[in-house]
Amino acid sequence: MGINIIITGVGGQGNVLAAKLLATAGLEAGWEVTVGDVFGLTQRGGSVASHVRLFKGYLLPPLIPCRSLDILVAFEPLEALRILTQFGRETTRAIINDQPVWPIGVQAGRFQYPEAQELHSAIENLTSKTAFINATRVAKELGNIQVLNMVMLGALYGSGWIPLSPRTFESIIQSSTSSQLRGLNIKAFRRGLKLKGSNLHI
Amino acid sequence: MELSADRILLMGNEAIARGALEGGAAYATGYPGNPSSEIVETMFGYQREHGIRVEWSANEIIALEAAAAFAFSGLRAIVTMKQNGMNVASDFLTTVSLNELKGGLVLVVCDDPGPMTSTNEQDSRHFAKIAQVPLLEPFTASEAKEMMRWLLVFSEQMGIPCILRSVSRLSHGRGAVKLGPVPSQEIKPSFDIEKPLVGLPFLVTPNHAHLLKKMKEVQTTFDKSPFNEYTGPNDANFIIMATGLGALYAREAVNMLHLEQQIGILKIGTIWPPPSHLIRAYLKQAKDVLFVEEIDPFLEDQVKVLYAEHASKLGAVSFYGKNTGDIYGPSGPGVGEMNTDIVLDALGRIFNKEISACASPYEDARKQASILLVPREVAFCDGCPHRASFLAIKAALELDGRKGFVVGDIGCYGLGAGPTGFNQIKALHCMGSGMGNACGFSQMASFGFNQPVVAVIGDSTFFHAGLPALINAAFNKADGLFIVLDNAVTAMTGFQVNPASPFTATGKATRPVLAEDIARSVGAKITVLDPIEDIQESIHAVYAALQEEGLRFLVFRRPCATFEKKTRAAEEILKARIDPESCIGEICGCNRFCSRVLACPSIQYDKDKDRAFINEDTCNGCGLCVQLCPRQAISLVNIQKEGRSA
Repeated sequence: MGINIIITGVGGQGNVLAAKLLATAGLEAGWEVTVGDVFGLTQRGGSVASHVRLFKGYLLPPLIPCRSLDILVAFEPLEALRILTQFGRETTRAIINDQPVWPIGVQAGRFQYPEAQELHSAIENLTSKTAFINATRVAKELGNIQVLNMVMLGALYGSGWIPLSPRTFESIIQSSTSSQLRGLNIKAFRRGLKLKGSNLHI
Repeated sequence: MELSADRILLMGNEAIARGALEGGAAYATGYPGNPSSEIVETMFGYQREHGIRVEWSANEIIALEAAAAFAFSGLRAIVTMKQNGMNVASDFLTTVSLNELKGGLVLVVCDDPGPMTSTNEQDSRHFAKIAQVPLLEPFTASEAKEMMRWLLVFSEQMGIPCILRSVSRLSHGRGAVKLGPVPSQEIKPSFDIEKPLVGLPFLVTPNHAHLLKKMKEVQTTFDKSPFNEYTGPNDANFIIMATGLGALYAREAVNMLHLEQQIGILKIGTIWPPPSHLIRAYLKQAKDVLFVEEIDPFLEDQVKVLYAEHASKLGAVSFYGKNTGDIYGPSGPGVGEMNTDIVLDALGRIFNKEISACASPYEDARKQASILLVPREVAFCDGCPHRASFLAIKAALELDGRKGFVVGDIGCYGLGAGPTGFNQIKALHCMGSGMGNACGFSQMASFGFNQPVVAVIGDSTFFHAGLPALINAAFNKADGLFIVLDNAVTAMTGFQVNPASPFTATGKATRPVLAEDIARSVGAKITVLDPIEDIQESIHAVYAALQEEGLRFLVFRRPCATFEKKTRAAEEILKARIDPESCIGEICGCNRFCSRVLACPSIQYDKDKDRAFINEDTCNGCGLCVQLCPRQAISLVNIQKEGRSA
């Protein structure tokens, strides 16, 4: 038994820290956990994806197999689609920050970013439930785009899709994030939690 | 001594560092390189409390030689590198293994299968065979820690250096690790001058014989090692032999296909020398053997040799591996990263089992969706000085018009081969290779070669591998044009310090070594410029240098913008801003220079308004676009003054 989660986005959006904290929460709740990450070149604006696996029984590898994704947390919609085309299956559920970050090739006019409606329906066709939210706006309202990842994790906890307690997660933020951002991280997480009632259609 | 019963989540590289601490390492060094850098970085954190000496070295062989001095004197040491570094360190490794060490010495090499950040896909396990040293390969973060700890002790017992091999997915992945006790450092190091460690030719053969004898003992230990483990039915005659993460991929695939009752998995952690008695026992049990390992068929080859040696006592066995073409990813056998899907496919073919796809409407939707995907290419960061350097080089080469080109090597500036570096770099291989290539290009004039060549190299790489090329060029009267792209930090691998930095990794002030000081001493003609502040002058300087002969040495010096942003609290925060009145869009004739040509991630073009605009959230305020806009529509504003904009 287990839950396969992918946290995806663009290099620099904070997926690595988000995956680390989520896996820590899983470990504290008594799950076996593993995280598969790539970093290095990716901080130069590339696609990034952290695989977080919570499981019991036998040890799992850090990579989720194709067509085995349970929950997708995407900081950017095009990256959401990229992950779904490889790892999605009929039961996959997704929380997506609906704020495009243009690839450099789109900016330079060599490629075309998909139209919003086309992108949304492609994503919806590959998920059983999808919540499009604007976590970027929430992070900006809080004064620091860096807390986008905590808003997204808040939304994930708020969805009720993972068997983990938001209270425990706040204590993990307390103990594992930088002192300057700790307070703001918790605020961002709580704002994310509340997104459930408003524009998180689950 | 403190002992925690709780498990904590550690990155593979953090677990390796923890293992070094628990194994009593007194010294840790290496050269940064993905995916290995975090091991030494984690060790820095242990330095003060545990009295460990930790530092970055100028390159991998110096790191290994320095670490060996600790082992010569009775202390334990570790040295870390990525697979390319293994080649650099191997010259010393293959000679030092012939000597008897007093303290433990472990070399950690992190391979990068299906390279995420590398210029090759090398399987470093071969070096254990070349140097005849023991090599272990872990399959979880927890085992990585335990192997590291054990190897330091074992290396000391046997007097041989040992290798721990990791891969990107393990080094950068995370898993639960139980912490063990940390021993206290009590040994006073000394070098025994009665026992010289010299590799004179007449000593080599007896030392080599002694090493091979010791490796037989190692093999006996490995035959009983808990790092090798069989799981599955006792009478299974289909056996998967797997190393490293391969064991986890194999387990997941077997369980997904419900083949647990038919297939046994022999996980092998002691890779070199292979545990031959153990392997033979399972070859006797097996009728079919599938190999699952990262990159080369290394275990596969060794097992087949063992089988051939003992064939008369073993039954017929069918082997399925990379050599036989039975296990492969989308690019074929022996290339790319291993994963569960590859094992699923291989087992599916062998057992004639279908791997369950989704229902056909879903698979159709997947195909439809794939059409929408556009690539997300890696790019120079906002404010990166390399963007300006490559722009200057590009402009100068175009002005020159003789089909000149750039040769380079590894680092952030390697992206000079991609669109945000205007596709300038035309040859890129290993550390320092551009400067070495340039030496050769410049010696072809008598054969009629007349294209100008520019070699670029980063500051850290210059000290790692550029110095011999510089001296070679001076000595051989090569007509080299070398450009050092000095951003004062080893940025690509996570902003490590290097000899160009004013501080050591522990924050001690040190004298930065200036590349031009060294070049001046060999008679090169020197020019130093800030490629962004002095963009126009930089273009002229490269052009002028292209028209000259002899050893020409340019330094484009400006600190890495991303590192500066991380570390400096600036009194002013500059952002570029485009005046929509002055920008006139498409009719300008600039061909959307700032957003399209310059391709800075912070500059975008609004199609509806037909105007360029700046994303102030990401703009680093470098001012390059300000200087280059033909309409002078861009200016720098200090947003600190006007209060932070939302």
